[in-house]
Amino acid sequence: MTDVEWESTWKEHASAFDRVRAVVMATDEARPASWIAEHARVAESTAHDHLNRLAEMGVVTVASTDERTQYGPDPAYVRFREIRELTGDYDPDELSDFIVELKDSIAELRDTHDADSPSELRAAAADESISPEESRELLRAAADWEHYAYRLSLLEDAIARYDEYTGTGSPVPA
Amino acid sequence: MNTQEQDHPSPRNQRIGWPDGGTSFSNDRHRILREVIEALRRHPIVVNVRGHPPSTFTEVRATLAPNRWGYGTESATFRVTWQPIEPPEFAFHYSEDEFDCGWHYEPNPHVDGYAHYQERDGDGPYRYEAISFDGDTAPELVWEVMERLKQRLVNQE
Repeated sequence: MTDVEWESTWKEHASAFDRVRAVVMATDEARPASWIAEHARVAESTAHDHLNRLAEMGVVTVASTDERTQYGPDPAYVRFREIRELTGDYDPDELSDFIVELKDSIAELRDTHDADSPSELRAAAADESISPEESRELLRAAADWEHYAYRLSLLEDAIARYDEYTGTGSPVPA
Repeated sequence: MNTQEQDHPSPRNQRIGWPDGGTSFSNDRHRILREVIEALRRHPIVVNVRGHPPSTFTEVRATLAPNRWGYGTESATFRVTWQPIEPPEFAFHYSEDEFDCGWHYEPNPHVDGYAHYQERDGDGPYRYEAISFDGDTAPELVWEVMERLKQRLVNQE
């Protein structure tokens, strides 16, 4: 069966720790260790151990109540991972060019939909007078807008602190 | 696709944006496409993989070496898109000269439901087939689709 084969291939090329990390970083909401274990194809105790280690590393956040403990991606880690990719792969001039392109993309969405924000698009999508397809198209546009805005904030941070993040700045005098 | 509900969102969850309904972070697409890249980097037929375009990072693009499966094509492209709406829409699409195919989860007038496979020869019309996915998260789907691709290409020859 195909499902057995893909699981075997995944296990062959990614350790239990890597699979747990991958699943928790891709989850759409906070999840208990049992859910993450099921999707990472590991024992629940294994998932629990790896999740706690990831939490100690600042990769995941832990939300505990009296009833359950749940895990999800740490937003600060996610953010810095992207900034590190940008500063590692591109110079400040290239990053500035990306900002121009992103601002153009946002302006295009603003003009196309005559809206000032993603939330305005979401509100329009909830209008009962439009078709389900029109509603999903507006939700897609809102998601695109949020994606561009988030990336724009990453780029602005990457440029502002480029020397600091890449270790190319002058040493700070003692 | 899993539709498990979160019964008791914690204050911490609510503060950082895990909702009791709807999508969560403004970083959703970055986070998920980054995990797609990480998964593909580990796959034995992937030559390189990156976010594309570098300015807007709206998709993942990979170069594959299908001949590592014993299939007679040295180089092919693989694209992944992910739209973090509810439910999420995604597409994994393989292309080589004169053939392309994809496993998609998005509305399509040719099939019932969101999950479907599509393929075509050259610029001909697509053939569609309703399917279901075993995996739920992006890394699961990467490995599942790559196995389905292997089965498709090997069977095609």
